[in-house]
Amino acid sequence: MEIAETTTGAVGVLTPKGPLCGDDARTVREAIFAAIGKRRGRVVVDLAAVPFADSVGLESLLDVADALAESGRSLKLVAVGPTLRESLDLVGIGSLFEQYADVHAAARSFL
Amino acid sequence: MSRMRRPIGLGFAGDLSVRCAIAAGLAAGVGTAALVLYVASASGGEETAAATRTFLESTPALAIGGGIIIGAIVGAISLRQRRAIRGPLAVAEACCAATGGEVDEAALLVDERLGAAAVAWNALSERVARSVAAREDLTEPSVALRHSGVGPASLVADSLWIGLLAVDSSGRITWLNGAAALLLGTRRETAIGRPLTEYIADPSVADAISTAASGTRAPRTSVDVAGCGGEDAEATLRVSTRSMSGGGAFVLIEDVSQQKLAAMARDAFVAHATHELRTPLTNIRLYVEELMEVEDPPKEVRGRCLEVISSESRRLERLVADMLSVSEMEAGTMKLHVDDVRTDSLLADLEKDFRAQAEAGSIRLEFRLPPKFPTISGDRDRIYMALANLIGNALKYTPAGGSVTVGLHVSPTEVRFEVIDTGIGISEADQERIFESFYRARDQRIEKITGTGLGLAVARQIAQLHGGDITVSSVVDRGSTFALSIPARLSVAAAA
Repeated sequence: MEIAETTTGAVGVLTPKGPLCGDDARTVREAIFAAIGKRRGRVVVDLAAVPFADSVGLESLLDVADALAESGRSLKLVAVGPTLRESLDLVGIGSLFEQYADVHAAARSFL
Repeated sequence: MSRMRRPIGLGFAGDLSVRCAIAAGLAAGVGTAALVLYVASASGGEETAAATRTFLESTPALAIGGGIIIGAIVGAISLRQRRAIRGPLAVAEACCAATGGEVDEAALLVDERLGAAAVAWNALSERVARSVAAREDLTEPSVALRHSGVGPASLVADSLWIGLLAVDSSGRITWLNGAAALLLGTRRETAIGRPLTEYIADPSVADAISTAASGTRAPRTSVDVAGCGGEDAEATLRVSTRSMSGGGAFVLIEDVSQQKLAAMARDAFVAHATHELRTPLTNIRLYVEELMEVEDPPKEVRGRCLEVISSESRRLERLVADMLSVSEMEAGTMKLHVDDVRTDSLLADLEKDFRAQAEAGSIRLEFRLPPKFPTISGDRDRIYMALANLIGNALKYTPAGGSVTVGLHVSPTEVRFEVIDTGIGISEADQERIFESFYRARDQRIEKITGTGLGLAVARQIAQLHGGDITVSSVVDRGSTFALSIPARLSVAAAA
């Protein structure tokens, strides 16, 4: 899976492209953890190009959210599509993430 | 209950008391019989002696029987007494263990079958344990800090996104919350015992910690430490220290990286914006003064002055519009007023507005246009603003003698405006960031070229609101090509 990594100010932006499933989900999870370590937690994940996620994908996002919670932070997701949002809400974990419409709004939350 | 205490040694003592009671009973029985025999034989005749002898023959049996009866009575009394004191003895033993240093709650519990004393002791023990635990969790920070990862205080600390640490008098970390571990780029268990300066190697931080940890009543100090994030080049941590009771220091760490960048961008924007505003205002003033100084100036002079005044006024107008657009972007309130847009009229206005600027910079400005101009659906003013930013940047960053070419390409799916220059070009690293608000490329070649860093951010937002985007391709020292694409929603067939 292609995962673009850019910055907005001092905030790292990860942009995975494709469904968040199986091994791809694990790859994304490791990329997010690496970015979190590199940027001391200043990371947002742009899911505009992620159409859906399976249980492994949802679990991967949850793993990152749990790890960030130990340091008082939340995983910030951008542009969550309707299918993915529905999946998050169905399993009852939608409220565990901070969701933003665009990258700039998510980056501003670090101010 | 996991462990039940029983009185130590009471079982052996009880058995011994029963045996003693039986022995005493036997001895009493034999002694009594012997005394009776002696008295009888001493005071009576032969009949008495014979009766006595008969009696004596039965004495052993009598003695044994009497001893057993007496022993049984004494033993029963002893057993009852033993049961009655087992409970209090067990409680006394538990009490001694508690005062002797036993802290395991399970080890201090007493079997409640030993009586009411045992029940009362267990209830008291549990209530004391709960009270001690609750008080330790809520009292002095120095006490709470010693319980790493346990109790409500640690849960509260881990829910904060500000890093909290405690260091001892030598500056070694004794406790830290989750956020501190993240900001220091380490794990909690790894950091305990290590000097804080191993993670933040800034002399002013070391001084602040040393002062606070020495116990002197130093005021709270804050130090901003930049570049301490290893690979994280933009990281700036604010480290605050405070003395802690009992020695050592309390340290707060805040990640102020984004705030620092925002403040720098704001300062740079104000500096550039004032210069950008001053330049057209100065030109307007100069040409107005020229017109005012000359009475009835020649037509050509008047025409040239008015053209520059008009062009610079529009430039001011665009600058102010950019600033207002950024405000709308930040607030998420930028909207489009969609209508038919004649691309021929749009491009003609652009050419007229930038002709003077191009001539002043000795740059060849060329519009390569298709034979037929489409009319598209969109917000004319916004599209004009976006293209004006692209053309204005191209003229600004192209040296004298160069060229800027504006093209229009129409396909069934999109309308694409291109601005191609032979300017200084943009590095690949900067190409990723030039669309950020307030960002200006870190390039020595543009240090003297003013700009607000807003134009491309606004242009991209406008393109995206139309359902399109802006892309860039560039080679340093050769030039750049910016393409603004908008989905083709042609409202009227091409106009000649």
